[in-house]
Amino acid sequence: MTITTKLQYEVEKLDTIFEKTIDMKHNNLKAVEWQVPQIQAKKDYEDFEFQSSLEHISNDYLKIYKGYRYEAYKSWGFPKWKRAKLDGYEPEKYVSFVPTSVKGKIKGINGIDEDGIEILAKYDFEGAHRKFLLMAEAFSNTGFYLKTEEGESSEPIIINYYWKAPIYELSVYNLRPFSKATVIRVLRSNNQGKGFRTTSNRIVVHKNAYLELININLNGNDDINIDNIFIELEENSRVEVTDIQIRGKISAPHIFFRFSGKGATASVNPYFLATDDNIIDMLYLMRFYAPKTTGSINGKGLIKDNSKAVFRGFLDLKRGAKDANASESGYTLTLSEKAKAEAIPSLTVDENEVTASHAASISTIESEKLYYLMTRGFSLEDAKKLIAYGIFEPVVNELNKFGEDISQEVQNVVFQQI
Amino acid sequence: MTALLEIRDLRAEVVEEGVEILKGVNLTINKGEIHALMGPNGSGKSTLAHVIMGNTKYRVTSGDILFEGQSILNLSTDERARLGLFLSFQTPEEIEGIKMRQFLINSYRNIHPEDQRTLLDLNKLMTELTKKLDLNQDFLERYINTGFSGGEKKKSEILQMGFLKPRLCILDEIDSGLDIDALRIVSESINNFKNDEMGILLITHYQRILNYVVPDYVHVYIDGRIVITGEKELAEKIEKIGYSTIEKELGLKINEE
Repeated sequence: MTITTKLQYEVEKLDTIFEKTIDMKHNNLKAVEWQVPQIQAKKDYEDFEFQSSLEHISNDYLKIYKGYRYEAYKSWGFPKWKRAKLDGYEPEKYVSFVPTSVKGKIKGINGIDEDGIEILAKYDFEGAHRKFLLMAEAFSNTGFYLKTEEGESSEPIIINYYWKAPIYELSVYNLRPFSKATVIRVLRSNNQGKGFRTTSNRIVVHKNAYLELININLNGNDDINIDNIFIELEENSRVEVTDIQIRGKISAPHIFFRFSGKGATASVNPYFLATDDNIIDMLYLMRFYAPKTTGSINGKGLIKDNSKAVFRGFLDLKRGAKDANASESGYTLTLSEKAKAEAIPSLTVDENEVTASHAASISTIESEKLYYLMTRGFSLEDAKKLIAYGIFEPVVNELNKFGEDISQEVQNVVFQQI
Repeated sequence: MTALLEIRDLRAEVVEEGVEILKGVNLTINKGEIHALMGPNGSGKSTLAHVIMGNTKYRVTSGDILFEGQSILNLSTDERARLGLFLSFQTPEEIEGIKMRQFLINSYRNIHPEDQRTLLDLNKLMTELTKKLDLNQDFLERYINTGFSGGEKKKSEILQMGFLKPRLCILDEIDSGLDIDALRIVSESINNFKNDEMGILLITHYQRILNYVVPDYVHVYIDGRIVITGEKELAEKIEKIGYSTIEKELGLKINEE
């Protein structure tokens, strides 16, 4: 069997699981879906960019996979996002390789094995937008393959991304049963010009495995950062995600949790800070298929100046997710009257025996708290800063366990911006 | 000798409603003195405390507040705190995300910017104080008053008094919600922390705490002003006959809400 036919065969045999963001089906009824308008770029990436992207890849399966994605890419336009004020997109000059520095045991995506290819072929999702997801896959100029051994528990992996050119990431994590891994992804703006990143991450956490994923996005005011992550949770697996989104012209994390195994547990704790004209448009989606699964989304953030934060937390409980437990909360503190916060919680339940809750609140700093601090000698400005910083204190504190450098860096950035 | 605090015919209103709430308060506290301010519920005792601290919810319409002979009316709350005024809250605020330890150290540095004490010294002092007040070991690592019991919150306020070494302490119902053991510990600490340079204004409903913290003066405060001043015995009398009899004796109309 040739490689091409083998992959095709696998794709067909596997019957790709495609997870849409909005999946409104009940029995035979289907809701009419809103189609995001698309705009064709004046000068989109074409064969030249695609061929350059293949230059660093020797893995035949991966080449073929990327080829499929490139074909699909051509048929899409860039989105017009009303909330994020994006009117299509003109790709920046393409660079086929972007540097990263890595600590810990993880391979480049070229080192992906058949198991990994199977993950690529088996799971598909929309991402923040299909075009951006396919863009990351077809034109990937960085990416990783993490594969743990069964029962393995390794040192934390730290990936540093340097924003010297547009970043297109294609990564796969494959956590074998009973293994444990921690991955910290740190993206730093160079604060010079328009940074652009779009990613595609597929993560499978097998039976009884555990993943701790920490995304630290320190964007600049002109950067666009779209982070697409799909996580498949098998039986009794556990996933904890911390998603830190600081600033960005548009910062759009899209994290999808697919609870397919009984007893799987996941939590995602987003922390966001928007200043100036920043727009942080977040989507965290948990879709429950299996019984006795537990998922929680707990977002906290701060907005100031003219910025905007859109917090979408979707809980989708499918028939069969018996005794599932789903919860969601969002809290936004506004430091300016012009800053806008939108909380868009969504709860769809197609199974009777579940527990689900959601709560969202948007508030300003209570004057009583400021007064209390002022009676202890803090100026009004310092009191405001202290309370605002308090939102990030738990996560800064948590990061301490991976060394003071990272937690100090996040603390400094937050302090500078509030 | 200049008084530590002198309040002269002070009148104030609630900013939002324009309703007069302090109706001519006169009070002088010298260094080393303990003054008890007693009065029925809703008489505005706490309001007086907040006006002294400069809470912007209230507006002074006439009169003056002097601290060591200088008017403090134009000072903001934090500036007053840095002069050495301290208020322990009836209901201390819970503030998430700021640990007690950090809060205490920063407060200390705000109030004593010239002080050379090292971080180590301050940490040591804090630990000693938590032990004295019989507070849990993790107290300093918790967020400001967050998840504290009523008693712990009051102890936290007294710990701040002991740690920050203010010159004028206004203790607003420090005794409410304390069981007898906690009341004893809190009272002992107040006596401990007090020195000849410090003045204390102790606001309370009940005479109970005055058995431990013995006042030099007792003031009865009704409807926005001090109506009678006496010594310790006045508090005992109130305990026996109640505020309503005092009001009758003085020919005051009780403002029942």
